[in-house]
Amino acid sequence: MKNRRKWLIVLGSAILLAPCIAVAQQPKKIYRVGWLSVNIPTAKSAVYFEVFKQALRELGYVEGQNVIFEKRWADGKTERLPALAAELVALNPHVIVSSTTTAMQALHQATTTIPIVMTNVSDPVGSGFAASLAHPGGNITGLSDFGVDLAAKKLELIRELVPRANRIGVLTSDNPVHPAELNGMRNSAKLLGFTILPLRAQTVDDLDHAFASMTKENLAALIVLGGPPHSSQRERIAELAVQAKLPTICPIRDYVEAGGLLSYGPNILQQYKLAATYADKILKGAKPGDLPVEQPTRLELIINGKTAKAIELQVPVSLLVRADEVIQ
Amino acid sequence: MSEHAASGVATSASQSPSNIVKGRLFRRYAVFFIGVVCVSLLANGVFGIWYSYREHEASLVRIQREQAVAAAAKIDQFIAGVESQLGWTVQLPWSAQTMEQRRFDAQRLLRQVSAITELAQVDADGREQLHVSRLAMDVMGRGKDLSGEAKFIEARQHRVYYGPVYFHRGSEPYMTLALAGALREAGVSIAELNLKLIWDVVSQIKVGEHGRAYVVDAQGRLIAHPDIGLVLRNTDLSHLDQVRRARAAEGGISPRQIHTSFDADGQPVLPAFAPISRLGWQVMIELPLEEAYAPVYASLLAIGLLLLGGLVVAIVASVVLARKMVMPIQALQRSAERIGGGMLDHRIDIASGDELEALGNQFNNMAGRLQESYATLEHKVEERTHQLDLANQAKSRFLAAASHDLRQPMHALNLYLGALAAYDLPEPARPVLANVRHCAQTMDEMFRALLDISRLDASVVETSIEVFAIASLLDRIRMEFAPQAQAKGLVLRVAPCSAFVRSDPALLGRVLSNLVSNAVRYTVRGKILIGCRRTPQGLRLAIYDTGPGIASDQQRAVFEEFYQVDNPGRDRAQGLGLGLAIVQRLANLLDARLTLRSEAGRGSCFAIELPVAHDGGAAPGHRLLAPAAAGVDLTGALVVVVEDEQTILDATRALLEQWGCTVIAAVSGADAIAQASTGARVPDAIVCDYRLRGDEIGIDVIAQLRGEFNCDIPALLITGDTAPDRIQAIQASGLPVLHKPLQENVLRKALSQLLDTNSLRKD
Repeated sequence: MKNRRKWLIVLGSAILLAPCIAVAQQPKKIYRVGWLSVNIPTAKSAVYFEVFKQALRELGYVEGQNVIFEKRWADGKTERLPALAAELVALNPHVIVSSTTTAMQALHQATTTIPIVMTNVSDPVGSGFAASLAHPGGNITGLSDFGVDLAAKKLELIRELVPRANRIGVLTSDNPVHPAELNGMRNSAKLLGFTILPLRAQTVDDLDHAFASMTKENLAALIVLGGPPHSSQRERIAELAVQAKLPTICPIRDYVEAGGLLSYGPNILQQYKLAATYADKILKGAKPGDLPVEQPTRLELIINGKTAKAIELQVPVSLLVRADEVIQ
Repeated sequence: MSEHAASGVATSASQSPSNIVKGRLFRRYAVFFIGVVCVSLLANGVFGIWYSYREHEASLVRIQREQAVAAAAKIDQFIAGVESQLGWTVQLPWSAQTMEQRRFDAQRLLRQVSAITELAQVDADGREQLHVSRLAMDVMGRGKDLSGEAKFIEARQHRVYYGPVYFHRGSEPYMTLALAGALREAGVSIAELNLKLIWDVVSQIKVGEHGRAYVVDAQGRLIAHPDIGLVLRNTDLSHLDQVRRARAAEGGISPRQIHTSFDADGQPVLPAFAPISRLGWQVMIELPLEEAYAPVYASLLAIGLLLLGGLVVAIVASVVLARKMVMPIQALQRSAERIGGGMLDHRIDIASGDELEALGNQFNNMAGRLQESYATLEHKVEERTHQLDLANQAKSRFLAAASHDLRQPMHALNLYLGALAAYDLPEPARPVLANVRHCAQTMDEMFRALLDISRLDASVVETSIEVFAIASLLDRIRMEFAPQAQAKGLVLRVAPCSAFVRSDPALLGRVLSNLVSNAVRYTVRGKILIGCRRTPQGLRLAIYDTGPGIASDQQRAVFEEFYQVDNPGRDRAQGLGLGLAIVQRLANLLDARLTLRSEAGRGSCFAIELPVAHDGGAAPGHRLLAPAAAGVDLTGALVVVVEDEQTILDATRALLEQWGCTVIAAVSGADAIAQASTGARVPDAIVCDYRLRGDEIGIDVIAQLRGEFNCDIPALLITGDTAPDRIQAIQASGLPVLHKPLQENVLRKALSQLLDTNSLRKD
């Protein structure tokens, strides 16, 4: 009798306990995510990181719980990038997220093993980061922008903005992508009968010189090439352009927000959100070489109405209706 | 008590088989119930599982199909939306609008429909008049001839043309969509669609938890997938079984039957598909099998657990039921066993209220009947036993009476022979008298033996245990039998022994004299040895002889009454055969173990084990009968003889007068007093018969005589009675007693003793 009861108890508890045993907890893995930015960690630049962090959080990575961020800011000083890249690599993070070709070059030099997610890289194949867009093959993948491809489209925007324009300034720098972009400009300019005047400005002082020379050249508009160092000098560039009453064509929205006239390019915030999905896949074990590089699907046209007014420019309706946003 | 023992034996004897039967019945019932319940439960459970499994599978397929169709409809709608937006650009003939207006419209379209990355507008002749792009510069009036291209021709023919999917830079999927206006003059609009935008549609389709929807083109290449990376990698899925089947399927929709397959990662999935017939694409739906069947497994587990629970309950219930059924049967069986084992007063107690209880009552009735008849039987046996006892008593009484009556003449005969011997008989008469006396002596012994047996059987022989030296007893035995042994030429040896024993010297003397007498009687030549030896139990007293021995098959019989070895003719000269029977009874009375070791032709050894007295030194002196005072002179003694039988009275008087006594012979107490009181002398002794005429008994007569003379006159009783109650009465009086028939020398000895002590007292 007694034996039988014992047996029943054992059976019953086995049935009841089975699910509890199955739910035994596994120790949480903590991921280390590196972040390398060319910019100063100002409010604006920090937004990108916050967007990225929030996107990661939505994918289940909570800072301090299962992910630690190692952030490195170059404060706009590109010469510091190699050292910061090496520093990050030494921490052996699970993945490093970075943007712009300049920073990517530093990381590409620093490691060929640690997975890197890139954003805002004009030509990943041409820069040697990826073998092809469909199969990057190495340790780098992520998002490209159309960079060079948009050169012609920007010139076209100038023609619509200033129909009689023929001399167009292009603000370049030592950024490795800029020569290619400038080249693209030149090729497209021939079709439109424009003359391209490249103006190199690496530092803020250079900017003053550049703008000083521009006024003599009677330029119709100025195309600002993106990436460092211009990204961290965008307020000053906008300020100088307004002073010179010069319409500026910027690579991304940030410049327009800083006072540039208009921008045509991919949505950067969207790029950082997507970067989080790349990081997620890599943290889950995907090889970066197998993840195709994605190109932006949408290009947005942002116009700053205040700047237009400030430089006494009437933006044609054909442009205004196409604009994704007009900042007033 | 005996009933208990009997039932105990019966129970233990039938224990094991009855247990086996019990177990079997219980097991059979339990197994039967469990079997029936389990089979039905299992059948029910299995059917339920099978049914719910089929049901779930069917609903899975249905849901999957519906999802596939719905997804296909969504994508179709997406393309249709693009198409209808594109429709605006081909409503008006080229002549109705300026180029700038058309360009403006085109740019607005691009703004509106983000999937379109480029738009070319071709005039009625197939020349490209406008090309608007998100990346490249807008081109107007280029006049590129597209009239020969499929997109233009197809669009003109079928109003709409869907180009094949191509991958921009080997990565992003694109498709050409060409649309012709209703008016020929409106020309054709050719749009390049970025199919990545379908991702928005596809990724919104939720297929379970881990399922997915994706789209393949007519060639089986992946166009849209929630994991955009797969699309950008330009993945070819045409090798997948479900894709092959989708491309081959009639009507393009997956069949209603279940069909499992593997996804691109090799995981088992439940696929479904539906065509986007407009484009020739297939929307594929895949649900991991694990997830698809998880509800089935969950319900299986639930059903299984319920089944298990049910089975446990069923088993418990079955066992309980079986126990309930078997227990009254077991009780019945146990009770039947007890009744069968003899406990007839046992009653079965079953209150199940069914046939079993009725059966139990039947059993009780049966037991009652049995008990009744048993009681009757017992009563009868008791009655018979009682009757037997009565018969036995009657026999004893007869024997006692007979021996008493036989003794009277025997007694007289002895007395007369004694008197006769005193006369100076002529020479020829002497041997005759000797023979007559021998015959009388033999007869006397026989009577004595009969009397002994009677007395022993009547349990009137009392033992008087004391400590004494065995040597004195052995001395007496030797002195008693040495003459006889010598006469037969036998050697009688008594080994010296210094031990003291605790026993009754008189009774032990009888035992020894009987045994030695036997030895002397049966031994023809050789010797007789009496010896004793200490044993752990006490003292072993043994009588060896070199006689004929007793065969082992007769060793038990020799102790029975009237049994004599080698005397089938029952020669009464050899005695009655009561000697060993008496010895056996005496030994029992003395708590002494009697053993016999003998072999035919090898002599015999009778041994008796006696308790040894260790405080031998403190033993009192001899209290054996004093040596016969045969030499006491009886001359002149005045003896009163009371005897109702005249012949015996006369014989006694004759004998006593022979011995020189003066005899007052009386037939009753009154007579004796009358005669004695006439004389001046107080009688020296009284010899009185126990049973006198009427109800008068000797004890009273002696008392009267003593009272008359106011003197404690020595007296002895003579009796022929062997009836136990008489003997007990005599013993209670404390008077010496002599049994008839009496040898004249025994009477003389007794009288001598009586007078001797009396004279001593006088001194």
